[in-house]
Amino acid sequence: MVYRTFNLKKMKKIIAFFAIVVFLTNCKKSELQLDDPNSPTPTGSLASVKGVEQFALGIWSKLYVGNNLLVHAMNMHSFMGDEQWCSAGNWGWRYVNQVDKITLPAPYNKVIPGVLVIDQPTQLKALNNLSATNGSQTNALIYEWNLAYFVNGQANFLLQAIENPAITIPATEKATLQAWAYWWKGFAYSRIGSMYVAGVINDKTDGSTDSQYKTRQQMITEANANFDKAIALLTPIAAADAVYNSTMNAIIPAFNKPTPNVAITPQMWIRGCNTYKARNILVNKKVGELTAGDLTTIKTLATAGLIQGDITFLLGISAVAAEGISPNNQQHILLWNSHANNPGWMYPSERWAQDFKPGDQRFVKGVSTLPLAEVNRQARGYQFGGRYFFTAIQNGGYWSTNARTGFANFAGSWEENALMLAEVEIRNNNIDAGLLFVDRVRTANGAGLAATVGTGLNQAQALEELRRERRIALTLRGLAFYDARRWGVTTKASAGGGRANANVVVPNAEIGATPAGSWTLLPCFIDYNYWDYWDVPVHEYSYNSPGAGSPAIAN
Amino acid sequence: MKKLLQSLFILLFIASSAIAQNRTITGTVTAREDGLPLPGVSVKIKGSNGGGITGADGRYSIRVTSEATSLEFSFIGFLPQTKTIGSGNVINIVLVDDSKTLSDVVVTGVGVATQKKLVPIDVATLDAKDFPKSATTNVTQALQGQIAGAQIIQRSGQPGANAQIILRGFTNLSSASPLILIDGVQASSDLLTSIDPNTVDRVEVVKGSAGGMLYGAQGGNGVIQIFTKKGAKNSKLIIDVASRYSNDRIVRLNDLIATNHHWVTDAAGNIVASNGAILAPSAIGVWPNPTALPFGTDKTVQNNKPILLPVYDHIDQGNKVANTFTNSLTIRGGSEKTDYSFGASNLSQQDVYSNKYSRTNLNLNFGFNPVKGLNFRSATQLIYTKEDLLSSNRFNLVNSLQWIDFTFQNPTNGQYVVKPSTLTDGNNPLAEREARSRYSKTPRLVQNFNLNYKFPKFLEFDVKYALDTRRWEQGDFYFNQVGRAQTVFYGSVIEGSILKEYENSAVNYGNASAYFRTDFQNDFKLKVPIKTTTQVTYDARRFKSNYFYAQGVTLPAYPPFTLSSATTRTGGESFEESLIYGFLVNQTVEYGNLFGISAGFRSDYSSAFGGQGTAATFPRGTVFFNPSEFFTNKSFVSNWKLRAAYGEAGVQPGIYDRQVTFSRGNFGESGSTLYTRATANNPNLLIQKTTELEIGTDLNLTPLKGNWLSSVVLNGTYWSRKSNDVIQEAPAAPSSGATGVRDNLVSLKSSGFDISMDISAYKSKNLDWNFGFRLGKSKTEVTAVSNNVPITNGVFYLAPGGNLGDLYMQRPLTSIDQLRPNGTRYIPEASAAGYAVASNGYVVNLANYNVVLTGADDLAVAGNVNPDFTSSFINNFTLFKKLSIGVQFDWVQGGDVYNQTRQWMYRDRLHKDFDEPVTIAGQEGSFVAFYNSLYNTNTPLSHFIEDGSYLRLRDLSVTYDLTNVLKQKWLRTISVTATGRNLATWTKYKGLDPEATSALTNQGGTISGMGSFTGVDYYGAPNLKSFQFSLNIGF
Repeated sequence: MVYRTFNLKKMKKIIAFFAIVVFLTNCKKSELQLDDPNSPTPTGSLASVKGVEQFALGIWSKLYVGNNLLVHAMNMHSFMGDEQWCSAGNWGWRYVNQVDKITLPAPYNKVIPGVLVIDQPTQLKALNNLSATNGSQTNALIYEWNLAYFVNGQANFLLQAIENPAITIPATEKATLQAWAYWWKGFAYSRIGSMYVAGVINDKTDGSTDSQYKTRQQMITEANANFDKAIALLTPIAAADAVYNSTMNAIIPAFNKPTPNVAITPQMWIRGCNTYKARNILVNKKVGELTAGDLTTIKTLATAGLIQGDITFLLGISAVAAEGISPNNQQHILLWNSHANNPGWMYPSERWAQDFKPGDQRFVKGVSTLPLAEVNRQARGYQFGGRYFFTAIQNGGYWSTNARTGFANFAGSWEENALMLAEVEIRNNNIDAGLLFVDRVRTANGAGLAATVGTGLNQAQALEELRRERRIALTLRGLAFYDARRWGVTTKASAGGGRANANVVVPNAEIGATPAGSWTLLPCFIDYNYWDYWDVPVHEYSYNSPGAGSPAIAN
Repeated sequence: MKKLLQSLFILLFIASSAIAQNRTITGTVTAREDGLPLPGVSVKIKGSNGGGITGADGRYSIRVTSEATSLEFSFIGFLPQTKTIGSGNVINIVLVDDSKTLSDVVVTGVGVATQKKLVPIDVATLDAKDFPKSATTNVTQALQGQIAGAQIIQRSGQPGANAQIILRGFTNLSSASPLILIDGVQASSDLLTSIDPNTVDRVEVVKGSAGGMLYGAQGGNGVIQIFTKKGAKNSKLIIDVASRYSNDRIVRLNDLIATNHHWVTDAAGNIVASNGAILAPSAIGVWPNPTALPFGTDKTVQNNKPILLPVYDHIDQGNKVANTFTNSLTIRGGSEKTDYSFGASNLSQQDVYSNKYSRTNLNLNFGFNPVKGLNFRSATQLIYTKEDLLSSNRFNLVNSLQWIDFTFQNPTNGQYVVKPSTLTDGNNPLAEREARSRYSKTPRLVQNFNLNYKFPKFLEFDVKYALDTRRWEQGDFYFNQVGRAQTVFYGSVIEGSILKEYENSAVNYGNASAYFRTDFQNDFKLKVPIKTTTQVTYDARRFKSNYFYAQGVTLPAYPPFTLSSATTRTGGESFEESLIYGFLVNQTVEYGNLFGISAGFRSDYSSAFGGQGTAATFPRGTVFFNPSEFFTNKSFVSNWKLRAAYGEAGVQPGIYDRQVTFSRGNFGESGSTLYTRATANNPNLLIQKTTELEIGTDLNLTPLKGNWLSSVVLNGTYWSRKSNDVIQEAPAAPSSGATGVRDNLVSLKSSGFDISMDISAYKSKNLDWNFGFRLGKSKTEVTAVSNNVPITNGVFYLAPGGNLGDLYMQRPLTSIDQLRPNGTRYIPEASAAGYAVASNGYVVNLANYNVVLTGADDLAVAGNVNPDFTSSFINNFTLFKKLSIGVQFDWVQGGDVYNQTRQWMYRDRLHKDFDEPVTIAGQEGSFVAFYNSLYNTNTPLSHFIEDGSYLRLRDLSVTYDLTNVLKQKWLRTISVTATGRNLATWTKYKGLDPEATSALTNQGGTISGMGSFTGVDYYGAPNLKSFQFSLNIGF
């Protein structure tokens, strides 16, 4: 039989061969320890000073999560403050820019309701749902919130990392890094307290949060407390401290510094904190609500605030798209509005343009005229029309860039500080003392305007000079909406708000003028009717229900 | 006892040889399919015990008595034949193979080659000869519609695009891709699109976890196995050559764009610009913006003005008719101890949108049988893919003003206009082709060695080793575009950039199996027909990849444009490695053909789960029972099997998903940054597990004896699944510092059935008609979301009690007294007079003709993207044995499509719906305000949900066999085929192609983790309608 004739030797060989193959392909449990070779681990990376520094630098990376969140926040403020307009619905831009009614002047006296009929608060509330948040990305409310809390989360982690007993950080560097974390927390809470009806204070690093929401006033108090911690840490550090300087160079990327290797000194930084604290008071009260005490506090803070020549934290553009937080031709407030590169996205507002005084060189240099005016762009409302675009920095302008150069001021400036001092003085009826600051800013900007000091302006006229100057000197610095809110411009007309004599490009078809298809610039009344403070976004309260005792989290 | 048996045996032997034998009959048995000799065919003398089998050369020699009347030839996989013994001594037989019979053998999901008759699970098979003739470019095309319960959706007509394969329902939320095997070893899922269909012999599909369990942690989504063609031992050299030409264009079922407009015009009807001048392009081809009539304030504005300007069909301008050529050569043969099959093929496929995709395949399958029982086999696939396709956003091909001519070239430089109008988004796609070029090249080797040794009794060893390695290279160039008439440009900077990427990846796979078999009758001389098989398998799979890139930004003004010449240069790399190994024990016991049971388990260890050291174990069990064994008369029911199987299988988490790490950013000269992840990883992540029960039956009927209905094969399976620990990103409040954490958040339940039927409808000398029917139905329900917060993303929704693929959104009101969820009226009774129901059923505000919608807080499930069922009808006719006609219809019923393209066109007020009049409170007109209000900020709205059901003429082919016409000795076979693919579609769908959808947000971003893979029409690349001609020659 076949079985018997089988060669046993051969069989052994074959079995041996199979055994070897099986052995060779055999795996041991230890081989399963395959850890992610690409990404640093918390324990591994934060066990060195360099790692902690890179983590501190990483706060900037948190500004960009899917989009540049800081730029998104600044753009929204710009639209709502009517510096720029944007008819695109992306990220909810057209909806924050959705004015309620435009009333044409006599003889027309026509009321033009918003295209979407409902007002901005109703619209924003409607879009504050998970579907618009995750899918269509039209929930405008999420970006500033995300910005603040992503930054805050990283700052919390940084504070923990600095205390890691496994590493020894030189005392000055430790103080600098801690101040850095507290500054960003102060910044984050300032953004929340200045924009949302309520917020959350969270210092934890374990992925949990706090269901006890805080009022916006409590958020500002917390923001200022964090700025104070930063000031306390920075106060003992000398201006030329080498450790401080090297730390600052490690945590501020080159593309965010106008001059290489020139650092913000501890004193400049402290002054910047004071300016921000002053802003937090000023922009969170309606002008009529400012008390004498407020004015005194603002003056005290601003007097210790930024001075001409101070450097502040800036948002620049990395020359290489992949190296930074502006990875494409948008994602920066000055890049996005480039008429050459992104035509059709956003334009300077007629209402902003009309706030220039005649002869202002900043208008001459900073603004160009479109070959053909934009009229009721995308048929989304007459606020979406205008004659201008921003002249690029490359062509002598200020507020737009066609290339990857330029800086956005998001954390206060000496001009803002000076104009806060001006406001305090004017409100305290020290007219010329206040106008001096206005003139100083205009001179420094090369506006070429005649001095206002000594021209005998009354308080109202002086405040108008100040209002205009804040509009122009602080363009695209994230302050336009705060100002529109506190001056009552965005308040609904029935409550005394709105803007009269607001220039609007009105289609001739609306007023029966000729030629058809063309337009007429008319001084209209705009009833913006915007929310003062936003509801807490849906993705926060859906996964963090307000605990008992929380304040209202929605309008 | 033993002695007795021996004597009996000897007696029997003597007795049989004692019978007088008059003559010897010889002959050769060959297969009709390829003309190759068939070894091992059983030859029996009818009515006697005598017989033999064919040798390796297909020859037999048999002595017959004068009483013998006929010979019976039978062989697994072929229809048996009986031949009358005439006067001659040579009887040559051509056997016809028949995959439809239960004598077919399957391997996938059962561990060992098992006759279909004895298979306890649902294994669908498709032989290469049954591939639709139009399936020329890849194997997924061939599978479309052929496997009951397998949804194979070609979501894009772009060359090389992977199809979405869904076997039965869903087991998890992030991937439905089944495990792909080739000749018993694992391969990556894109193998189905990269292997040449000509090299495929057969495909087996195991749809459920019960069979998939043999593949453990990787088998949860089912298994598709490809068997490549082999040569045959002792066969002469045969050569097959095939050439195909295909003429392709996009499927375009509807026109999308309006013929009228509502812009401000002058008295003569000319559209005017904002300076009042008649709209005309600038010298460089840029159009000024027209002004819309104030439909926002004037509800009576209608889209009813004729466009006096010349208009252009942008979809036509962006898509051309493309040509595809396929050439292949196959050489097969074998000697006494070896067999070989060599193939070479080339696919050269033009894209209708841009450029070209090409693929060259070389394969060698070599078998060697050095000693009895020992088999060595090597299968080699060399695949080289090269493409330079541009897949950029097709948004503008649809959403552009009618009078823009994308083909206009600026006369001063001959270039296309990048941004012909600022009024609509985006740029001219034709200009991108001037500004950008890209390519990818992928050489790939799939090498498979198999060593098998069958001991004469009991034991079989089988070892496989495979390597699947590739080197992917991609280049992406944006040219320096300084000097264009506009400064709008493609890429990140106007001076251009270069990106080069390389990835080397390899999968090493090893599998060692031992089988221990007993046959109680033969081995132990017991009278019970019991056979047992014990399988012990160990396998391991190691994946490794290295990725590198280098980027140069800002190119010089003059060539050469290289990385080195770029002003700033960056680079990076990433690595991945994973390992999974496990062992399987499975025990099968069969009692004749009557019944069988099996039970076993598999344990897997993986670097991606179980804390890198704990096994996941998956049990299984199967049973089958053939009642037909009791039938005395099998003239109607020739075979009837009942079967049931239970199994568990898994789907692994992403390889590093459980490791808590930081992200790293690149700030160039300022160094790297470290930061916390937006979506936190979870060290406690578990493997996703699915348990499945399937119950089915396989029935072979022979209803009628004549020409009609000679055979009906019916397979039906009901299945039910539960998936637990399904991974989803558990959203977190942003104040926690992250947006979410990966977690085992969801539980799913699904069930359905698959039916397939093959009928020999008519069979005669001159006409064969075979009819096939496939039907699959499934539904997947969400049973739990552990944090109880429904998950919404885009149009999709996951909530306990809901179904996977649910569309969740606002709806237009359909009655004036409609209530909110809280019971109050949407429209207060007092204001009701200000509203009316329009002729299409929507409630309209009479003040502005805007449609009234449910609130943003009143969303509801308004549709589901998963079809009620998928089915196909396959007919094959053969006339005079020369002319074959194949017709395949695919019918998908009930899947909804969210037509996002249409909604975006409502934004731009360009959709042809705007031409359609609607009646509002007695006023008829194509009111712009009415339609535009439905755009509704691009918020998901049920108005844009459309029935995506379709019936598609998938394949229509006519083949004429010229072999007997030409009658050349050297010519084995020659045939010509004319084919059409996707020639006709019947659907109510309003877009271009209801099949070409995917899961996207309304900004075109991929939605993952929602268990939806299709259903949103977002400017996708429609499928192709093709006319093909092919020539097949065999020598």
